[in-house]
Amino acid sequence: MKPEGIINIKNINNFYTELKNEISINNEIIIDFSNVNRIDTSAAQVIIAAGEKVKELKKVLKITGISHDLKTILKLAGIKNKSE
Amino acid sequence: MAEAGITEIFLKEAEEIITNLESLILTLEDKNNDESVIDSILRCFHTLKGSPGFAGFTDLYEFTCKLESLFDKVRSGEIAVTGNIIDLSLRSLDWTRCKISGDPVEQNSENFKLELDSIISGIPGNDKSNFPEDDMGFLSTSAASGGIDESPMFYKIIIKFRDDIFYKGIDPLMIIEDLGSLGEFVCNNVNIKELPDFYEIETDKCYLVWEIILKTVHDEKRVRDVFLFVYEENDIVIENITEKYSAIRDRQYFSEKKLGELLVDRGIVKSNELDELIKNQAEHNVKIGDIIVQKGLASENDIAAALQEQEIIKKKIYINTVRVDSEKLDNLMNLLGEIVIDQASLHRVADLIQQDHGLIVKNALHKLDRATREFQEQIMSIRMIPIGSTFDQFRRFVRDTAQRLGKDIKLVIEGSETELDKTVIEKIGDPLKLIIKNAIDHGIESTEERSVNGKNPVGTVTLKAYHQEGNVFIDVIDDGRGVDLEKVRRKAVMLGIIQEDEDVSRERLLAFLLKPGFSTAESSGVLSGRGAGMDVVTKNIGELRGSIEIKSMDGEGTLLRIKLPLTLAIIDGMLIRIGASIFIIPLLSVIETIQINEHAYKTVEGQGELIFVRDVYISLIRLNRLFGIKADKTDPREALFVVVECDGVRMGIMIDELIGQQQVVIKSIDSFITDSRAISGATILGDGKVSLIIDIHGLAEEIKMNPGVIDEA
Repeated sequence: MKPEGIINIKNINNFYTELKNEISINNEIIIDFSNVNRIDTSAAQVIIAAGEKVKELKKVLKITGISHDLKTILKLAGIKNKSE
Repeated sequence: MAEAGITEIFLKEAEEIITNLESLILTLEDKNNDESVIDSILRCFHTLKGSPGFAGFTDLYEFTCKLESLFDKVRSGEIAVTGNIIDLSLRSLDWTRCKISGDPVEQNSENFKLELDSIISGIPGNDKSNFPEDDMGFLSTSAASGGIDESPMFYKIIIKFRDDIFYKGIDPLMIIEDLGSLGEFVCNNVNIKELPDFYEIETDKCYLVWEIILKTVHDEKRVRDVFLFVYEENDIVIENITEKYSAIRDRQYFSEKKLGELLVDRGIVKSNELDELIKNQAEHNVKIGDIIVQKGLASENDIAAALQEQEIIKKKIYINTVRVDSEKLDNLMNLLGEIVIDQASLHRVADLIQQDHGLIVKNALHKLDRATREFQEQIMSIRMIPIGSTFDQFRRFVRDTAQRLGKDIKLVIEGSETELDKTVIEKIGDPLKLIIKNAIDHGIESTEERSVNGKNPVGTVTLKAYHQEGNVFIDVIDDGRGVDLEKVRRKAVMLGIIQEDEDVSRERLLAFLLKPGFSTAESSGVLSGRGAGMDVVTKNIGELRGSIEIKSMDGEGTLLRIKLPLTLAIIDGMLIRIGASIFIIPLLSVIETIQINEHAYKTVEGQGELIFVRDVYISLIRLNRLFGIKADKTDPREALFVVVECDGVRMGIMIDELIGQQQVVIKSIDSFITDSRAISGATILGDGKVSLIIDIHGLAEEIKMNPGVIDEA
C-alpha cells in the first residue's frame, strides 16, 4: 500500500481500513511511505498495533520509503525496528 | 594541574578506557551499526576527553574530540562503519595510548598523528570548525566539568495523555517532538500496554504512554513549558533525576546490578512491575529481557543497551575494584609465607613440650592456623583477577596478524570470568601471544587452502579458560591443519633425539616441540611453525609452575593446553618420607593412603608394576628410582602407598612413611637443581630442612615420556 500526504486523525480510518485489508490478504505487507510527509499519533499507534498483529499471525510488515523527518517521528513513537 | 600522583591515576584510568574502547570498536566490526555499541563508544570517548588526566594534553584532547565527532556521525548514520573506519579508529587509539604512556613505540608519532588527523578531517563535517568554542575553552581549565555539556540535567518524564486528546486538536507526537528539541532522549520507551488488539483499536483514542529520560541543559521550568497547554488535563510527571542518572552514567557502582535493576534505574521498568516480572520469570524459567520485550515494556534495543551497560559495569568492577600498589600485595604474600614457615616450626616445638603444656600450645596453634588460613584466603582473593582483560587484548592482535597475512580468522573467547593469580595473569600474556601467533601464522591455512579442503574459509582460534582440580587451564585451539608428525619425527632424528627406526608415540613426538633446541627459525617452517619459540613458552609457563601439552589432529587443528596453579604461594601438602628425603604431595591430588595385601601386587609385561586398589589395577610409582635415591622399603607388600589422581588416571606412589599434612610455602627452584617435570618447587619445613614438592601432572608426563625410568633395575 502506498498512502499519500499526511496521515492523521482526519483520515486515519481510511488508512486503518486499507491496512486491515492488506493484513487479511497478504503475508507480506509493505507500506510505502515515500509519498507521506507526516503521520500523527493516531497513525503511529495503528502501525504499532499492526506490527504486533502480523507478528502474531507470523506475517511480515515492512515500511519503506521513509524520509529523514518521518524516521524521526516513527522513532519518537517507538516504531523503530518493531514493525519491520 | 593536579599533582603528579593524581595525574598518574587519571592517566591509568585513561589507559583502561582506551583498552575498553579497543574492545568495543572490535565488537562494532562484528556487530556493524549496533547502536548500543556505538553509544558505549561515544560514552567512552566522552569520559576520556573529560578526564582530568587529559588536562594539559591539548593535542590529545583535540584528537579525542575528533574521534568522538566521527562516531557521533556513525551514530546518526552519516558515516557507515567500514573496515577503513575501524582501522582508522584502532590506529588512532594506538597513537593516543602512546601519547598517554609516553611510550615512543611509533616512530615519527607526530607525523603519524598528522596523517590520521588529515584522514579524519577528510571525512565531511569532521573538521575542526565543528568544535564549539566552549569545547576548546575546556583546555584552559583542569576541571572535569564535562566540557561542552554545560552541566546537563537529566529528567525522567512520564506522559500519559487523555484518551480523547485528539478531539482537542492536539497531536501528542508534536509535543514529544518539542520536548526532543530541548536536548537528547537518553531513553524513550513507548509503553503500548494499553494498546488493544489491532482489530479492536478505536482510532480516535490515544493509547500510547511515553516514558522518557531527557538530557538537556535547560532547567525544569523550560521542560514544563513544553506541556503548558496539556499539563493540567493530562497525567504528566516530570522528575529531575540528574544526580541519580549521573551516578548510573558514570557507573559508580559498588556491586553488580541485575538487568531488571538497570532497567528500573533507566526508568524503563517500574519497581512494582519488576517484582511481577521476576515472579513471572521464576514461574516460566525464561530470560527477564524476553519477558519485558514480550510485554512491550521495552524494545529489544533497550534491553541490548542495558545488557551492554551491565557488561561494562562488570568489566569496570573487575578492573577497578582494587587499586593498590601490586608490590604491597607481593610483600603481604611473602610475609604470610614466612608466618606459615614459622608456624610449622612452632608445631615442631609443641611436639617436644611435655604432654599437658604441649596440648595447650597445640590448641593455641590450631587457632592460629585457622586465622592464618583465612588470612591467606583473603589475600589470595585480592590477588585473583579475571583473565578476560588479558584475552580481550588478543582480539586486536588476532585481527591485525590475520589481516597482515591475508587470512580470515575469528577469535572466540570462552571463560573470560575465570580468575587467576595476579602474577600469573601478568606473565601469561607473552606465552599466550606466541602460541596464538603460531596458530595464526602456521597452524591455520590460507583462505584458499581451507576452501579447497572443504573447510570454513574463516579460521577460528579459540581461547578458553576454566578451573579444574584446583588448577586453571587455558586452552588455545585452532582449527588449522594440525601438526605434521612425520616432519617432527624427521627433525627429531636429525637432532639425534630419537633413532631412525625407533618406535615413538604420538604424544612423545608432540612433546618434542616443547623441547629446547627443537625450536629454530628453520624448524618453524618445517613444523608448521609449532616449534617457533615453543621452548620459551614452556620455560615461561614452567616458571609459573605450570605445564603445557599439545594435542593435534591431522587436518582438524591443534590444541595447546596450559595448566597453571591457582596460587603461586601456599598449598596444602601431604608430607611423605622416602629413605632420608621428605617430599610434599599436593593434597588436592591425593585420593587415599593404603597398604596392600600380598596378592595385590603384580608385574605385567609392557605395563610394569601394578597394584590392585578398589577393584582396579593402577601403576606403581617408585619415586626413589625416578630421583635416584635410596628407599628403606623395596618390597611393595611392606610399603605404604599414596594413591593420587591426574586427569582421571590413578597412580600409587610407594613411600616409606606418611608424616602428616601441613600448609607449605612454595619456593621456586632453579633448573640446575633439577629439570625433572615431576618437581614443581621446594619448601622449607618446620625444622629448617628443604623438601621437594611433587608435581603429579608432571610426574605422569615424565613417566609417559620415559616409561623405563621406574621399571625395576
